[in-house]
Amino acid sequence: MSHHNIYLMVNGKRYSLEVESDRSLLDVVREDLNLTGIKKGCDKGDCGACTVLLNGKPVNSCMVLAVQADGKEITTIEGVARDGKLDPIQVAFIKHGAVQCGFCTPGMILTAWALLRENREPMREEIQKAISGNLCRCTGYVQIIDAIQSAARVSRVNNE
Amino acid sequence: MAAFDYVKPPSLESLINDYAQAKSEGAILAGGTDLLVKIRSGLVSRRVLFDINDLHEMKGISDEGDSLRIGAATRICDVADSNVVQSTVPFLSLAASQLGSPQIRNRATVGGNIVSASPAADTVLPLIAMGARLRFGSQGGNREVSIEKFMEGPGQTDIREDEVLIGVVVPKLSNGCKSHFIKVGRRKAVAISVVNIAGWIKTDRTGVIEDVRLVLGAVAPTAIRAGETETFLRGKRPNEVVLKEAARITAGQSSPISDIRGTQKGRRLLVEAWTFRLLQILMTQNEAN
Ligand SMILES: Cc1cc2nc3c(=O)[nH]c(=O)nc-3n(C[C@H](O)[C@H](O)[C@H](O)COP(=O)(O)OP(=O)(O)OC[C@H]3O[C@@H](n4cnc5c(N)ncnc54)[C@H](O)[C@@H]3O)c2cc1C
Ligand code: FES
Ligand code: FES
Repeated sequence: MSHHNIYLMVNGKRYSLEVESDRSLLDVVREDLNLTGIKKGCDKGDCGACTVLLNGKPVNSCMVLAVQADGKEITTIEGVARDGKLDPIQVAFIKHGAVQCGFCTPGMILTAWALLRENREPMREEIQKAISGNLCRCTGYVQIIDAIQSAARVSRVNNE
Repeated sequence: MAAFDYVKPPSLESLINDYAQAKSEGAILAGGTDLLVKIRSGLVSRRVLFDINDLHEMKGISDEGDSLRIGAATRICDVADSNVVQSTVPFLSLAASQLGSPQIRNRATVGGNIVSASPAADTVLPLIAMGARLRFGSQGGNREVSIEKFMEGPGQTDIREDEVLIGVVVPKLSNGCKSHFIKVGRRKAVAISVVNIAGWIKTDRTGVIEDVRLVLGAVAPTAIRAGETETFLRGKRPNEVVLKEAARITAGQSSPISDIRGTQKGRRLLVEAWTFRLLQILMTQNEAN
């Protein structure tokens, strides 16, 4: 079969669509759902600009077929802010100058989000390892790692 | 028109039947981190992909006493995080935890790592060092083959057109063995290794080496066992001189090519330096590490 009726739960909202078998989740989310936060950098797994959370785990959406995501939960950068309020990670990225051209930022923030959910107090090396699949050509990573550490601190304080 | 059709067989049996029928026009889709890249770049073209991601017969890690059974569709992240792998074949978990990036590990599978047969494939090294056996299924029945025999060259294996890799049987390290894995990459992540090395060692009560395995990746058409080094080390009492000599012998067994990831001479030196380091770590490690 080359056409498939699927549904995706994206940022908590249900979408029913018909997709061709060879289309990537990246293309379908950007073109059919018009959620253009995720970016297409390399289209081959190298850069992480297309990162989404698939059932809660960061994956490169360029390497998942849309039809493979049928029935699954997807979080994109558009689903990170809650009730019009930025997530602490987003706030920290702005505060620490971790956003320059911004191309890597959506993927970077989702990866950081998944990390902080599992590890509330990550060491710098742990952050470095977690974001090793997200390339940034602008910042040199220091500001990004600072931002993630500070977001972890803020979240810990908020939860206490 | 779509470049390929997509089918998700409901069971292993229907996968085997459908796959056999498709002949060379079909491909197994596991994590897709290798296959989809090759299709998109035009290196591979197939009429239909068979998705094995949700086939429970091919997933998971089970403890079978002296060995572990790892389903082919088990994800690399699950091998890296598995308690039973960490405690019984620690260097396999270590290799899995260094493959690609978190995003890649969350999709890529053990079976895909084996069948794609890159000479640098990270999990293949500890699997060779453990003498792991691969279990294939086809309409003709099941077949088992050692992973070392299976690998024939870069991207080349002994797999038959209608065969599906179902799982891997990995003997556990015996008590008193120590194991380690080292990967030297060009960049921290998302780099196929320049050189990778896996090994285990068993010493007797007096400190003499009883048995040892050493496997090198990315320095020959397939990952290779450093047989001469193993023979040299057996029965010896390790000290700095012995380990240095072992490292030198190891470098002589590699036949690296020069490519975008490193030059030939550079790689030999890397092999020597990192083999020495690996052996040192094995000798100083606490047990069961
Ligand atoms: C950015 C990036 C970084 C990478 N880094 C590394 C790295 O550091 N180390 C490393 O070793 N690899 C690396 N790889 C390569 C690849 O991710 C791994 O080899 C991975 O384990 C492949 O598994 P998969 O499930 O994604 O395979 P797939 O792409 O699904 O399949 C690979 C091949 O095996 C066949 N196949 C898969 N499963 C079966 C089965 N059960 N039976 C029969 N045939 C089967 C497929 O048909 C295909 O030909 C990297 C890839 C990318 C894109
Ligand atoms: S676009 Fe997916 S990893 Fe680069
Ligand atoms: S801010 Fe430009 S790539 Fe990261």
